[in-house]
Amino acid sequence: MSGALGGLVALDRSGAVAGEYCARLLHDFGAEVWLDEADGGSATRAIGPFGPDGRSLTHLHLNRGKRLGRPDAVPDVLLCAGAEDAVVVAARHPQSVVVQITAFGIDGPMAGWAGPEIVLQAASGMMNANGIRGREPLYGVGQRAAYAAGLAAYIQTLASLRLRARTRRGDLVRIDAAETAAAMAFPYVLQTIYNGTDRRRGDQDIPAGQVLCRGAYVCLWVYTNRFERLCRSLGLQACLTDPRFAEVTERSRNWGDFFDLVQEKVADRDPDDWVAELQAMNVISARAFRPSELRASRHLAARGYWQEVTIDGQRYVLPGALFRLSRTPARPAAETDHAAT
Amino acid sequence: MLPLEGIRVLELTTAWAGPMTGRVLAWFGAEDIHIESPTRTNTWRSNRDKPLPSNYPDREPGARPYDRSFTFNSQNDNKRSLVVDLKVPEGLTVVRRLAALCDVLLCNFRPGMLQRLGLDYETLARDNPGIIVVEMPAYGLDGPEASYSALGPTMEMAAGMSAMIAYPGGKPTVTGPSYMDPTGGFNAAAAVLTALYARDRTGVGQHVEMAQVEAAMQFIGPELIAGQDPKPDGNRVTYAAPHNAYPTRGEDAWIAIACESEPAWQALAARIDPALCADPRFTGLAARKRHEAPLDALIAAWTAPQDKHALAAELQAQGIAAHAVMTAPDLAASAYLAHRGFFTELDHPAAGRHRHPGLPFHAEAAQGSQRTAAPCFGEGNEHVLRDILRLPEGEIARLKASGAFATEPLPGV
Repeated sequence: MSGALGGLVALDRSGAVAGEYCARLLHDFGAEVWLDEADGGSATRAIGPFGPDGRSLTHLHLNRGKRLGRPDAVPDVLLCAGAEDAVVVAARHPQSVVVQITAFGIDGPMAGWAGPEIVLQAASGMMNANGIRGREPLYGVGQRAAYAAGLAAYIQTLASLRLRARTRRGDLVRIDAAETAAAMAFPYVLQTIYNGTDRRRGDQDIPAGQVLCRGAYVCLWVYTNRFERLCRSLGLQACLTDPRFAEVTERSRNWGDFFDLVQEKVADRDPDDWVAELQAMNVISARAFRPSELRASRHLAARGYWQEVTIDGQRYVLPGALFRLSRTPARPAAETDHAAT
Repeated sequence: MLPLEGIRVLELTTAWAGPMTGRVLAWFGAEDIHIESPTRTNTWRSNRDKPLPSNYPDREPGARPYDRSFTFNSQNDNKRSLVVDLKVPEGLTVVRRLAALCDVLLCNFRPGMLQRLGLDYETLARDNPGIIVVEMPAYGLDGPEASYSALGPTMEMAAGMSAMIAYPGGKPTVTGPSYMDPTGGFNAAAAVLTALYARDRTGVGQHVEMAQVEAAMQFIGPELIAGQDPKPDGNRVTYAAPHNAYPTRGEDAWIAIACESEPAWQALAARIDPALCADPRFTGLAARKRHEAPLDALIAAWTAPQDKHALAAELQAQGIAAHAVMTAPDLAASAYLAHRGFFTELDHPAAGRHRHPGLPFHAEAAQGSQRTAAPCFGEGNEHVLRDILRLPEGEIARLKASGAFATEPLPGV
């Protein structure tokens, strides 16, 4: 079997991050995916970052492996362009799963609203929690809400294909990036519905903090039953009787002070060594990797995570598969199958 | 007809990511049995410290706070709860027999747990070749850091994201309490549906490894391919200005505004002060980037007394990307989410009747749904023994007497 989704044919004319990501996942797991770009090329060709040859790495990431053009066969999955009327497309292709991804839907009070990443994150309820109270909340990085919408579209598409196998009829899938983002926010909205809580930044410290070691930050999360062990390992036994930290309730108001003390102890520590030490004590922790540092991660290297390809003489290092299937593994990134070439 | 009707899922999960995967599958009609420990209560039901009133309906923990927690009850609708001690032989035997009758086993515990329990794919597939076993460890099943424990914030750090999110010169920032859990939840759901598609054609299941950190890295794929470290600069980006959050009327109230084109900036400038339209400091992206501090300052002065929702609607009507930075009460009152059918009112026997947030999957035919609220602790014990395993009464009595099953947390929590 040529991949889990072998035999499926998909046509991607979405021209946007979410749709192209959904279609790339279909490709990765075995579908034959055709990229049908609008005149002038997909809008994702203009999205950075860009490689040394000016190629959009966003377009490369989203479209590697797809074929350019249109299939001869009626596609099983058809990802609509933003301006297309999906109802009309679905009527023309009653056997296909037609997918339309928008920012805020095609009807309702925010239909047609523009949804760049910062807007989607603002709409999600998540951005509200990011950063320091009193300063502007931080939206995040990249286009994560758009990718999440593409992932949601992939999930619904496979569910629709499964039903199609029984009913022999296609489906019309609609995914909103804004709703997807809201569904991924911590479920404070149910807390509000339960009791009216209006949770804000800084209201209740979680037992997590970041401290700067030699050259990199380390994030740690200190459960109650690990606090004493951590203090002793750092020579901070005084914290065990310090009225700011001795009791859980008081400690929850003073995590900032505690992590300041930790910072003084670990500024010269090697971050990887200290994380290994913390993990040995069952203190949940991780180094804050920069993208360039991840390439050198011994763990990812040992797992064979990265995939190397050469396109037009340029070498690229690509992220590995989304997940590993034992019988029908994802397609490896190949050297010759990039749609943009 | 729901697309996953007839699919039975067994969850060995806790907290958020794993239960969210099961929630997606149950949304689409799968029968989901969430296995819980009687002695190590799911932290989303009950943390180890004294219950915080703000976690419960009407701020009342009640006699069974673990049935009333908003965190657990948000991620476990449509499921049954089987509370069983896997350290008791009778309990483990029941779970093994149950696994033989399941299509999917989800596990979000650390590597090695399934093998220790004899619930690994190789063992289960001998008698149940169609089973799909999904493990979703933070760092994968092998490699030098495979045994590291993780939570959402540490996974975001390990994935390379947090270092790119910071105020200038500031610390790496975590997205919300955790962005990696729902990301992992969706990724594992995608994995199950992919493996099910293959199984529907071959009849054969498989093992799936979804390393949460690695999978999440797909979301910043272009940045990883570039292999360069962007300098964190708050909300500012190279490709648009203005692009930031600005204060509005109220305490810690903000609006996000982004002008990704010259016409969008011209429209915003005209709305703030028509004289700005021709101001050379702000004509063209390069000029605005050079003068971004005064640009942000004048926009902030203009937004500060305004209502964030009304202003966002006004700006969007003029083609300017904007949105109120939403709080939880904003989401609960959102006309947009209500129109989308995001909330479903459900009765919970211990928590009462409330609107429950849903999932963002919509289709004309294969539409999922929320049909029942989250289960109470051990609510499904009888159902599993009697209706699924169809055990005789005498054996049920013997199993109950073994101490393997519980309907309330036991010492050791």
